[in-house]
Amino acid sequence: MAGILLFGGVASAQNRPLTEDDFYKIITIPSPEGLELEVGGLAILPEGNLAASTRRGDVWMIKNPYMLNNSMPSYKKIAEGLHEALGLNYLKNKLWVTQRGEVTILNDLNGDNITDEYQTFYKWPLSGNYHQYSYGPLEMPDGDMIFTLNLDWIGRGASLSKWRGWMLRMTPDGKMTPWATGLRSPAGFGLNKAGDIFYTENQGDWVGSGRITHLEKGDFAGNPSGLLWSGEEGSPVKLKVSDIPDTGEPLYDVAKRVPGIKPPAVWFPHTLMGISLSDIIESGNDGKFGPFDGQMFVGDQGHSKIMRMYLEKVNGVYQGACFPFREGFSSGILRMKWGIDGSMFVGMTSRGWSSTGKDKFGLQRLAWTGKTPFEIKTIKSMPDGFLLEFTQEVNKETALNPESYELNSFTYKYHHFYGSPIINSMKLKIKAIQVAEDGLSARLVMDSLRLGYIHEFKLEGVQNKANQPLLHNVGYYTLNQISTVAPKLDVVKYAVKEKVAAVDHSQHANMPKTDAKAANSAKRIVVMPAEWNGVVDQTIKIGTKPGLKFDIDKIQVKAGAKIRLQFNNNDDMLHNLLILKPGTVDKVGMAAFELGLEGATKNYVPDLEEVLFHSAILEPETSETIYFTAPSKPGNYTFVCTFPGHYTLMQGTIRVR
Amino acid sequence: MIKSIFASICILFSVSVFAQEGSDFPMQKLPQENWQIQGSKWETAGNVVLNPLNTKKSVITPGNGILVAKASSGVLSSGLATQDIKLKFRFVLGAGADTRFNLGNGIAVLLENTGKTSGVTGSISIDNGKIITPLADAGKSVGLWQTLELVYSPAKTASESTVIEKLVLNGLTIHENVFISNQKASSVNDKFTFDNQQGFFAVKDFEYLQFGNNKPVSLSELSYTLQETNGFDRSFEAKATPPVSGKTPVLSYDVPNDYNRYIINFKGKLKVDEAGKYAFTMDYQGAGYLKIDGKQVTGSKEWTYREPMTGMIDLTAGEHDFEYQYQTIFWRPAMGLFVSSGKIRPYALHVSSSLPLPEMKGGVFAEPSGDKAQLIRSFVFFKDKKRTKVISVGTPQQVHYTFDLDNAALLYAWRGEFANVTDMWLDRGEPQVIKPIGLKTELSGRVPFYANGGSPLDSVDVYREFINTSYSLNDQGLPKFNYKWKNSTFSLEYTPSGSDLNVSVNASDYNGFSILLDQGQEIVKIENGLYQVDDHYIKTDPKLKPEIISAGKSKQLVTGLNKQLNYSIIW
Ligand SMILES: [Cu+2]
Repeated sequence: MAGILLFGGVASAQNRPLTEDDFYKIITIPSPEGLELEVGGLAILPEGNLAASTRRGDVWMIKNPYMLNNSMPSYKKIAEGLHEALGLNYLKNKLWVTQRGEVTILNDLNGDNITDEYQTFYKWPLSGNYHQYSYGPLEMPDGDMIFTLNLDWIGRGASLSKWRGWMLRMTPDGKMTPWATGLRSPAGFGLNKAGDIFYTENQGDWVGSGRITHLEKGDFAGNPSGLLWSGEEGSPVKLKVSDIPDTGEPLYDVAKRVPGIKPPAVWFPHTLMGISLSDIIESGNDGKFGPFDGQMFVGDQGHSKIMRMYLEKVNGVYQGACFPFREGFSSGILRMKWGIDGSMFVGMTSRGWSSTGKDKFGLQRLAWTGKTPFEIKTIKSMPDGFLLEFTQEVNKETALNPESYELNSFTYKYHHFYGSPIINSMKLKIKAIQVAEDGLSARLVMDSLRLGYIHEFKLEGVQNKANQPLLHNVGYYTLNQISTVAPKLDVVKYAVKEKVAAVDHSQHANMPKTDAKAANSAKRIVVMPAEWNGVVDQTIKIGTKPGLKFDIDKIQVKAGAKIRLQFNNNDDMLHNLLILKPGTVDKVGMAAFELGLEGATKNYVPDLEEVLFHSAILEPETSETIYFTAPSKPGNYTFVCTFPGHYTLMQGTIRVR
Repeated sequence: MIKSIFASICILFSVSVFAQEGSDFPMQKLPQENWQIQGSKWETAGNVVLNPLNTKKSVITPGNGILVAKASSGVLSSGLATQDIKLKFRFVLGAGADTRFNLGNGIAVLLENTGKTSGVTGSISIDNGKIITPLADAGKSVGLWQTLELVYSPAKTASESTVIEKLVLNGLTIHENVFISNQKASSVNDKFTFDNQQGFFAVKDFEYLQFGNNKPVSLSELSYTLQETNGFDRSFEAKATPPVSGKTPVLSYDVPNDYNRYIINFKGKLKVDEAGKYAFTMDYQGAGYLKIDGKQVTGSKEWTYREPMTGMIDLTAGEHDFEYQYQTIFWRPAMGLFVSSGKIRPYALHVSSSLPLPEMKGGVFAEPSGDKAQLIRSFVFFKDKKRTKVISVGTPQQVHYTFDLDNAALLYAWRGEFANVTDMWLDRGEPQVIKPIGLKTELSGRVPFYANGGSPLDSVDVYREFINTSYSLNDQGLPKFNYKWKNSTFSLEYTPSGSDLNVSVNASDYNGFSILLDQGQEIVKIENGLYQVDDHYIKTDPKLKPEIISAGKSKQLVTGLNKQLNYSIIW
């Protein structure tokens, strides 16, 4: 701020575009040098203390984590020797920790605040697979506790020992009931005010994209591995592995045919809304965290950010929308807990997986500044479209202009493959708009509503009364049921004007759906140019490695040389390769991210002159060879992957000399 | 100097002389006639059971195979020249023993337990009086047989260094690539000798491999065929693209081609100058095989990232058909082939550009700091299987153990450094196993309790019957493990005592139980209250009188459990 005042005075500070930081501050809670605080679990303790369990198996008590008046926190180890402690809670005046193979109560018998008795509350068998992570407890209103168990990973998800892939419910005296299955990597779960359970799932086999599913007793959420145990005593799930079709149809459609499959309440489109969902917590109703009372916040490990989710119940079924909220955390977010002041503690680790926040671990706190951001507060289902509520009064002219909006719907395949492409994407047309008298909401009537589909809202043109744009102008609503409570809108009265020969908004959706792989474009030559006469000066091979890395970070080429570059995607994720002018990687990386839904058809390559050459976006274990003439001007050029979330880590240098 | 180090470093970066377990070269036994016993104070024996408490009560059975020095017996020469060699022997020390294993040129390995400051077993003494202490005190307790393995390369000229490439004591590497300069050139007259200066010492099973520097195996007439493959499918189906073929003077993946993934198949002649048993070691990232005369020697269809695979084959002198196939997967191509035998160190048959140096990781290690024990919970490999509910306890006294919580079973006890946790805490930690670092002994790993009148249990239901209820920590941070079974409660505590581990067992409410103290291939009662179980001792109250019973091929040491029982493990 000081710098801004110095150069431009107060006025320029007010005129600059507002950022997330103006509304929600990230405060780092420093930890002593040498402490590997790879947070697996967080618990709020009495007297303003915080406890963190770690992947290395320690539990730390953190005093003064709020650091008021710029004071320092202090750390004390209060337990150790736990096996990858990914769940921690303070219940019934005790710390409860979930290890890989058991739930343990930490007792302090002599009152020195250090655990001296580790009491086994409940245990389950383990296969010895690293992916057998276990999480919990979450306390239910009646005092029962909820736990979840990850699947094994053997090149695909598998349940190699009993109850992997399940959610378990336990009474305070240790009686266990299997609750639901179909889970793959259920690192986060939480309750809403009604006491209903929601869990977050990561993209993977049978999971086209990240999502949140409401789990009732006996539900099956989609990954069949856990069904191995559905015949066991106490199982409330009746489905068998063989009941699950592997057709690639949308999960919602399969669920209509196969009772017992539970479609998600909200899909989080992969890369647009994170890549690996983690914790989920619901905001209180006290207004301490800004204008989103009762909404849920969802962490993302790979993208080091927190998203926001609004849920509504329509015809007894949960559904709703997700929105961007706050990015820029220091490591991969795994845990979120409300502090006593209504701020949010965020515990992080990214070891073994990478995250856009580059630190290996971290602990931060997110606090509301008291300013209300201009945001889409909710999206609600209406019989003929949606109602969008805003946190601030809109400029009605912008909200009534159909060109302020861009709407699409799409879904994913349900199949045994890892992830899914976006399928059945369709541009939606607005037929009518009504803006509320108070300017706080807008009703949109559109030409198509599809059940089970994600409805994308992009509100680039909507402004508030101060003519400021939305802080985040996108939201993704998953439509499981169409609400018929409100009357339909009078589409004649509120019809939008059809602009003749106006900018054709549908152009990108109508783009010829050519196979991106086959195209030869000026920047992507996949066949050796004839004028080279079969002569290549230099062949370069670049591969990818797990953890968002290329297998080489420096390459040297001669200026003007004819280059054949073979790009091998050896990883289990999508990647591309772009060659950029020196020093332009941030601009290009961000522009690629901004492509949004269009990204996939454009290979995540923004149309910028800074991009010199590029490959297609490559599926795992595929490759592409491109041909180009090295720049004539010597310098350090960049090669980078611009798949959303990758560019900050996945870079290398091509030195032209 | 530089030249000699360079030569040695080349050896380091190739395949180790210690081949993989199970595929080691059969070593040559040194015949008893070689030992120059006559005129020395050394004797031969058929068996030695040392009593560690009183050497005089030891049982020495007459016979052959073991060379015994009862006290101050002086020098015994092996008659084996101190040349480029790998050797291995077993030895046992009585209390206060001090024997030097001389490597020639004034260099000796000290085999002693005098407690003198000059060093511990495994120290290297140089004739200028300097002592090179080992990386760890890997010496076993008095009376237990120990194993020493050495790879040694004496200076061939006065300007070269003598290199102790590797010295392994009881499975722990205690010296690696120690360069000793300012030596005389070694002489053929220098022999390996033992010099017993004081105390009881015995040695047996002396074996060796002598290395020449010739290269008796070579490749010629190499040609290759390269076929593009269809993705990374494990089926490795070939695409419709035409194969590329040609001749090559060297074995290298780097032949001209436009393909990303491919199978390259080399065929040629393997020229063998000298008949014998040879080991071929493939090192690559991908998949592949080696065939000689049409027979697969080594390799795997599994995708392998730089894990050398060795196979052995008897070859006659002359030419043999050679076939090497290599399949690129998704890693950068890298492939190599080494040959070795009982007479030559491994050397490469590929060109060095075909196989870059492997990437090494620094690792993560745990060591208790302060005055309390450190606890780490993990998986661990035990008798080739993963145990998954395991806690390891590291103490400031440097006596550590690993315990199976489910089965109330001690798995390992060791002393020295605590644990290598790289496989748990580096990257995802996929194996998720802890590795003890120090001098380790393995225990039975079985449920210790069983009802009187029965026999030790093979397994027990650890979820519904035999329940680990908790463990609590004492003021040293040492856990006491608590169990419930058949309306009784049990507890187990392990406490370091000197270099031993004391075990304390408590049972309450009911005394109808027996306990399995230990199990081994061989259990020998040394005297009342002292039992040797394979590579360690169990020491009990002399009045306890546990029973040795047979259980299949193994022996068990069992006793009734009367509320309270203490014993210790000595190794
Ligand atoms: Cu990428």
